Amino acid sequence: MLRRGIRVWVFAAATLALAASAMPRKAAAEPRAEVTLTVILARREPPKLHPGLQKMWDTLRRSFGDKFSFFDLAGETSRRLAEGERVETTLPNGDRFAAIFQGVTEDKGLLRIHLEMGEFRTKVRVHDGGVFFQAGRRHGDATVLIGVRAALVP
Amino acid sequence: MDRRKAMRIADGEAPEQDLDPRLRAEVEAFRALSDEVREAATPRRAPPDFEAFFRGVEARYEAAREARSDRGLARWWKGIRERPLWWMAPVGAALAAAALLALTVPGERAPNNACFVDSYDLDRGSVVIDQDPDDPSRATVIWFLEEG
Repeated sequence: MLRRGIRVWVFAAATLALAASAMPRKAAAEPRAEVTLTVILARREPPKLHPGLQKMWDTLRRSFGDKFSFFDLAGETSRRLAEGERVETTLPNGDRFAAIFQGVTEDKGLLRIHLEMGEFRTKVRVHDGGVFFQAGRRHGDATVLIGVRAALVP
Repeated sequence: MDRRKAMRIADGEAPEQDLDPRLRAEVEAFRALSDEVREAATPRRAPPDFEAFFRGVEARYEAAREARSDRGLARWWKGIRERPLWWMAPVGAALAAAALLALTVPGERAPNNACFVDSYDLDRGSVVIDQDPDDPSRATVIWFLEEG
């Protein structure tokens, strides 16, 4: 009787262990990034800064201070992206601009961002929270600046 | 015999009726004597002065408490003087921890906007990368210059 009881318990334990090993393991958390596209119309003058760009003023001044003094906010789009997802915006001239999050580099933890605007494609790596700009398209007498900010989110 | 009767009457054991003056005087004398004896036998004690008692207790308690406090302070001060490591070690550790925190916890720092352009692809126009490798706070600008 005792042996039979032991056999039943051993069988039950083995079944549980087998079931536990067959269960799908929790996948490692994939990185997610919040990518923000800020579309700005810049002119040489008169001096102006849109209130929505005040938080970017220091960056704008450092990057474009010698070229422009007029900065108007044309639009801002932000989205949390998993790897392979994209955020898009329409520029004032009707072009589509997209940023695709392509994951994080293993060595330095840089965020891989691919940009698409018509036939123009580029691949960049940025630090977590870093900002860079794509510029050059014209809209009337203004130059279109697109600020791209990418930051990891938990 | 009259005296015993007078005692009984004075004690209330016999009726007090139609007494002749001499017997009445005897009865009154016994009653006065009983009252005197009763009064003498009754203890005449004033209630104890509890207020004074408690004031004394409080005074002694306060004196003992102050003495204890003085002794504790003296012992504590003596310990500090004789064993400086008792307080120097924890104070030193706290200062070291504060210094370490101040050095390691990031404060308000400029974002690192250093950007690495790995590749670009375009059918027309040209691309100029404007960046300052010595100033990572300055954002990189990827200029796409259309021809015409």
